Amino acid sequence: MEKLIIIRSGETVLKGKNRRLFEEKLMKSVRRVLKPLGCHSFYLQHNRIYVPIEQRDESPLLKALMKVFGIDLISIAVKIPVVMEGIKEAALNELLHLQLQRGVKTFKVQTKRTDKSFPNSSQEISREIGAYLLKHTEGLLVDVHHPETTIHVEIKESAYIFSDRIRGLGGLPRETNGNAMLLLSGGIDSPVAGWMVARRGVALKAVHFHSYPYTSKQAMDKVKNLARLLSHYCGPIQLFSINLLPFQQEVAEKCPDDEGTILVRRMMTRLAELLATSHECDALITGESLGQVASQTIQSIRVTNEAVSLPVFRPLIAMDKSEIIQFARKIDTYETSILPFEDCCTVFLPKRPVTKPRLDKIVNSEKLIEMEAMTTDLLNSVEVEWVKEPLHQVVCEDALS
Amino acid sequence: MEIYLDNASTTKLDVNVMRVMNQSYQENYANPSSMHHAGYSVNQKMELSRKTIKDLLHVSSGELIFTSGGSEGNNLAIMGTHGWKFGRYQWICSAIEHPSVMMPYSFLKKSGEQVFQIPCQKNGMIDVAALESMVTSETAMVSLMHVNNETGIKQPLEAAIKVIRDSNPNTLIHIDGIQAVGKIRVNVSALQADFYSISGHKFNGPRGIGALFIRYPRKVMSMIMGGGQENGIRAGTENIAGIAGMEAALELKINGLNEKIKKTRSLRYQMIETLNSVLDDVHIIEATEDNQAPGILQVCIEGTKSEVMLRMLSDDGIHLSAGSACSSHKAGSHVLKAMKVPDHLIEGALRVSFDESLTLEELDYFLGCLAKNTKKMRKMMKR
Repeated sequence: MEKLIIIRSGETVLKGKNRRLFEEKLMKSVRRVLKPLGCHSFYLQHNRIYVPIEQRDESPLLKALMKVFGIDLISIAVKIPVVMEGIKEAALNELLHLQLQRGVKTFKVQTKRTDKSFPNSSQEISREIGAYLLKHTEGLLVDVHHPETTIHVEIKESAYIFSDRIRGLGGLPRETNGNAMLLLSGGIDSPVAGWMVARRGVALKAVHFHSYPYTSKQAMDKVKNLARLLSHYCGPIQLFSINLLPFQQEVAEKCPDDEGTILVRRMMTRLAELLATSHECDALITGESLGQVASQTIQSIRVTNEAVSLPVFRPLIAMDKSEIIQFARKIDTYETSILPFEDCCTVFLPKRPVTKPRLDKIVNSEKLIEMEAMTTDLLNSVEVEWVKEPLHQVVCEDALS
Repeated sequence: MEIYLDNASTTKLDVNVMRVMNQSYQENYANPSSMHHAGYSVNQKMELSRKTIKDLLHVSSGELIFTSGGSEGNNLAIMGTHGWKFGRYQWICSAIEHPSVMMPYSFLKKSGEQVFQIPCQKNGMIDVAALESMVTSETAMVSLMHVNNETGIKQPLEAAIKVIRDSNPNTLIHIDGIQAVGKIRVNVSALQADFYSISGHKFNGPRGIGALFIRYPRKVMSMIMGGGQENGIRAGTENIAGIAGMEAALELKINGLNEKIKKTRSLRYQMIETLNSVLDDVHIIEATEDNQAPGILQVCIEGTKSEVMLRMLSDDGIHLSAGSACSSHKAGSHVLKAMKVPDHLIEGALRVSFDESLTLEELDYFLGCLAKNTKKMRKMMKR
């Protein structure tokens, strides 16, 4: 008898001729999180990844797999030879365990037989095992419609018996859907936006804008920590940092006060696009949510969009703040995002920012600044670093919690 | 150039103090509570240090208990008294106290005690008349600062203690002397206080050591229980090297203190004069010469944000503190607020804290950088 984790991918199975590529990428992601835990031997078979647990505690492995994009379902199964007596015994052990641990009272047996050479049909096998389980247990009933637990039996080259099917993160394996540049602030929204797009198999790069010394080093560290948290799901992230202060100074000096926010927003998007195109990214990602602040009104978003030609993904556009917060808590970025180190000093907040900017007026204001020279200067001042989460540490901490 | 102007936060350990501590670590390693000769010898040295510190602070009666620092001393005075007196008493502190006093009082209030706060006047001193109206026969304790940590303003302790004693001679008086020792002349006996707390690292001594003078040790309940050290008031093996270091630092600091105060005061005047000549809209928060600790200069520069200024100056190699914050989520200085300093001034408040070792070259460099950064920031803020 062998204990193992069965990983089922979600949409990967729909990928036709590209399926192999997607499966390889998923294997790579699984290897990335399991290797630091000392788990090296796992294999792909019939669209599934099998991870032998051996004598290990499965919970750190499960927690690590729960941070891999592209995994739909995870089960802990026992693998045994295809012999009816052994299958019944394994199913009984599983059911007794569930009765003891969770006090389940009803169950059903569901069989899937891919090895058609096995003499009995799936239904016959389920019935036979069900009868065996009823006979050898007390206080348990069969409920085929709403059972508290389902004992799954799969007959292949071996028999696999399991009960729980844990829902993974879903989405597509990382690095299967191109690269995008995330505009990462220290707030709640942008990490969530990045995570959502990364779940679709997009590899992230990130750019952060600050105004040091008007913003603090702690605010910059906070952004790095957010990138680090994201990297646990997305892998190492190349983080670009640009000090926007020279541009903000020009805006404060030469442009109408109420246009400060939108002018800076356009500059950020423009710089992000330039970095994106020079670093093989085909889209930008922002955490904008319609109407949340002055720069996120429908008119402001249009004016910002006009500054760039790359597609801008805004996965949070129709989400409420409370929903975004809930999501941030789920992906563990919330507590870092709410640390009191802000990435925008109150000095730069106009008293009454324009909420319905007109493109022609904004373009005219930009003409007051040497935009080309400014853009070049800012790009030349960019600082780059790779941010990655030390996987084994995080997983160990998780295991302790 | 690196200039440290944050001496009210902590001070650099004096190299001679470090030598004393090194020697103490190497020679006086035995536990002073042990029965053997080595322990007894360390105990005797510790008692000698205690006597020296008492003498330097002019403590004639009561006990001097070694603590881990200023916060513990303040906590022990308040919570240790509350250990005996609770349930039907009133407790009074001022609105400008350090958090290590404010927080225990806040705890007492949450525990159901009656707690009153003495307002601060615009001149930075507590309102003694208001204090007089607060003290009743039920007042257990009054906690006051000797020198305020943000403004350097000496509090009118003589008058305050008189009104407390006149209203209720049984009220215990706790003085937080952490910013006073080594900065101004201190005579604990003359003050007639019941508690006086000090901290080693505020006068070029080591961190992790402080002391609390207690006039009536029997009226204080121990907050740290264990082996009964420090007359049963503060359990835990004494920090012998720390005590030796604090003693040495205090001796060094008090030696020639008048001259040091004079020099620091002269530096302060020079600082104020130059500030006023190079920058407009600069407001100095200070008291008269007799009521001002010379080593703290609270200056509010209009049209600036102190948090940003601190970072700019720190980039220039100058390190100081502020009571205010740039972020709207952070509250400004509670001391300046209590003094009713307008918000726009609190926003640009800086605390420059220095001692007699500041050179004129350093002073010039600091003021030059301050002026340069102020101009830069004001331009940004369209002033």
